[in-house]
Amino acid sequence: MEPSANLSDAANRSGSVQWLQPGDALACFEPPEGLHQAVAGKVQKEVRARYGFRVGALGLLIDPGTGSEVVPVSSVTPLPDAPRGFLGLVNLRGNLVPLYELHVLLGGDRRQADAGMMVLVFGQGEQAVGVVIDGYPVALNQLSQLHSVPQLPDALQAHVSAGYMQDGVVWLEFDHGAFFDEACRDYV
Amino acid sequence: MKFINLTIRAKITMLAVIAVLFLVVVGLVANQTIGTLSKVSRDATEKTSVSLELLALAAQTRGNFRSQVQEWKDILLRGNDAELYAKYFEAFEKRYADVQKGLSDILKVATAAGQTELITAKEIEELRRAHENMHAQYLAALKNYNPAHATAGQEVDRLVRGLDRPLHEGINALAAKIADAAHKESAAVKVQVESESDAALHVTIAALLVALALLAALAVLITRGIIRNLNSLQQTIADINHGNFDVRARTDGKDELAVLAKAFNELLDNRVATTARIQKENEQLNESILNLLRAVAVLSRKDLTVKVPVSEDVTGAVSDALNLLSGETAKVLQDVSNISADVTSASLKVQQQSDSMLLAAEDDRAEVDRAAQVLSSAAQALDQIAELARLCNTEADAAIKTTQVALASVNNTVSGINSTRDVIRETEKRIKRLGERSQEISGVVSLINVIAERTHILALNASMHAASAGEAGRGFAVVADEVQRLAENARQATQQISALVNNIQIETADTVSTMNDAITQIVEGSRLAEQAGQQMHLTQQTTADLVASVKQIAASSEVQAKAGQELLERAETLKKSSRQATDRLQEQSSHSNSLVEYAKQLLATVRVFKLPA
Repeated sequence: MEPSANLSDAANRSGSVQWLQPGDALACFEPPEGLHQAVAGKVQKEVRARYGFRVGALGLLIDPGTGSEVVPVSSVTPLPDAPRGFLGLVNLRGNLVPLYELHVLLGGDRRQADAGMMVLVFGQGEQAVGVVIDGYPVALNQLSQLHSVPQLPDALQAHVSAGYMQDGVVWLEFDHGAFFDEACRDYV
Repeated sequence: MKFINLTIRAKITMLAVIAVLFLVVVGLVANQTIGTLSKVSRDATEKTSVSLELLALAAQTRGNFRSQVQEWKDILLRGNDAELYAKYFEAFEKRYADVQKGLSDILKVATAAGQTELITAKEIEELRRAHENMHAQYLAALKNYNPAHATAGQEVDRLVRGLDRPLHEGINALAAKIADAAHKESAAVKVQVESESDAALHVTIAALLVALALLAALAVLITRGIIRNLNSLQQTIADINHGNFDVRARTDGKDELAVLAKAFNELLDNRVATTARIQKENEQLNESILNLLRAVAVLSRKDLTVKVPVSEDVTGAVSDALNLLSGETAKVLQDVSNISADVTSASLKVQQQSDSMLLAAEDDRAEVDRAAQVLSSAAQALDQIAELARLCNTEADAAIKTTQVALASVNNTVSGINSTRDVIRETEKRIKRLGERSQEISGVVSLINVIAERTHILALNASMHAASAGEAGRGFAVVADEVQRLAENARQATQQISALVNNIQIETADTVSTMNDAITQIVEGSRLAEQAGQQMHLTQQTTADLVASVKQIAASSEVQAKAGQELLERAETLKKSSRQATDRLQEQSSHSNSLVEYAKQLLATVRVFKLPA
């Protein structure tokens, strides 16, 4: 059933309006008429490609100045009494890298960690932090900037500075450093 | 020149010392001129003081003389009182002595000052004598003074009236002369002092100007030395900014700027050497990247014999990875090619076996046909037995022979079916081994897929690192993208190979199933043939008993007719089974042809890659 049908049924039953989760709403996001023509002149003519990854229905862009890599993780060492979004520590070439699940941090359900899951590691050394990704990062070189950033989960809204679109998919400019700093502060 | 070799600090110190020396010299000159001026002033002061003293003495003498004359008049006017008389007389005498002393002092001072030309002793002596005469005449006239007469004073005064006038004039003339001389002396001193002052001022200014000129020349010389080196350094920096790295700053002399210019030249040499080294490293890196691109281009044309040159820079790891990937892929593809060749060979053997089996089946069918015909004839003969019971004796031998022939044919048929079954079982084993080899190919293809997957991740990480490196990673990003495309091509090739292997396995399973069906049919045919053989053996025994039981033939002719009819039906069934076996064998032959075709396609697909020998 379509989300709009759910919404209308719920509204009819309860007499009040119920809103979709921001992630679900972004998955159903349809660009308004003429948006592509309005932003067609703002297509970034960058020769260098940006890289983005998907977390559920969200498309997040990797900071172009941050060195990142994809590693298959075979084992994760959990920590007792850790928050839900913190899966544990991963041994990456001798460095202990904290591993988060953005899907949980953004309000979703926790998934079972498996041996073959892919992890995207931001930064290097002590600044490194890893997140579980659903697929490989993709190269993006035809991004069109949106006039405004769509409604996002509260935990993510303050760390997204701009929105782009390519091939009908919305990609968000994601400041991972500030996001995980705030997440660490919340945990501490 | 030693002066040039001095340091700037020494030059400035020397300039300061010379300036101090010049100031000292100018001070000494000024001191000398001031001393001279002071001496002149002192002399002039001394002369002026003598003149002033003479003027004072002249004025004092003139005043004393006037007082003496006044005391004289007091004596004459108030001398009638004895006490006043004595008083005034005493004053008169005192004034007389003062005048005499003043004249003497004037002469002494003038003589001591060496102004004997201005005031002569004769002149003073004449005044003194004249004063003494006048005093004597006054005293002589005073003897005529009678205080009792009221006019005594006038009478006495009448006696000396006019005596004091020449002396007055003489003393006034002396005073005027002294005053005039003093004025002249003062004017002369003033002129001399002014002259000496001007001379001292001129000498001081001249010395100061000379010192300033020398200091200015020395300062200009030092400044030119500093500015020249600074201009050379500035011009060198400007030339370097315009891209001329061959220029060097002048290093003449041993001052701080020369040391700075040497240090700057050494720094510039180091920078030029560093820039040349960096440029050389960049060229080597570009050459390595070009070699990588050429090798990747050759690899993209499916030529796996190429070896990427491994350099010592950062592209060495990528070259090693490419060589490892191409080498492992070539090994795997070589194994696949060998296995494909084995599959092709095995398929050809299977095809040959199928052909031979088909020929054998054709022979079997012909035998079965002949057996059926014989059985039909036997059945007809058995039918005729009932009717020709009487002819049984004569034709029993023929029947026995015919039955023996039929039994031999059935036995041959059974033997051929058994042989065919053995051949089919052997073929089944070979096809199963072919399936096992196909599963080995699947394992190798899975390994290739894992390698391609890891290569894909490696290339993706390299692309992201190159993107994060900005402009410096542009060339490396091209290499990483090419590696990623190559990994994708390898993965697609493995998928195609996997699909072909799956088709082979499916066809192999179908073939095995078909062969199992053929074996079942053959077993059934064999069982029927054995039954036919048993029936033929029974017929033989029955026919053999015909001779002994000819009389019973008629009675049992119906039984024999039924048995012959049953034999005919069995023969028809056997003929049908043999035809079905032949059809299965033809289907097997068709599958064998398809298997050979798939093996050739697999071999052609694998041999698209150019592999090392």
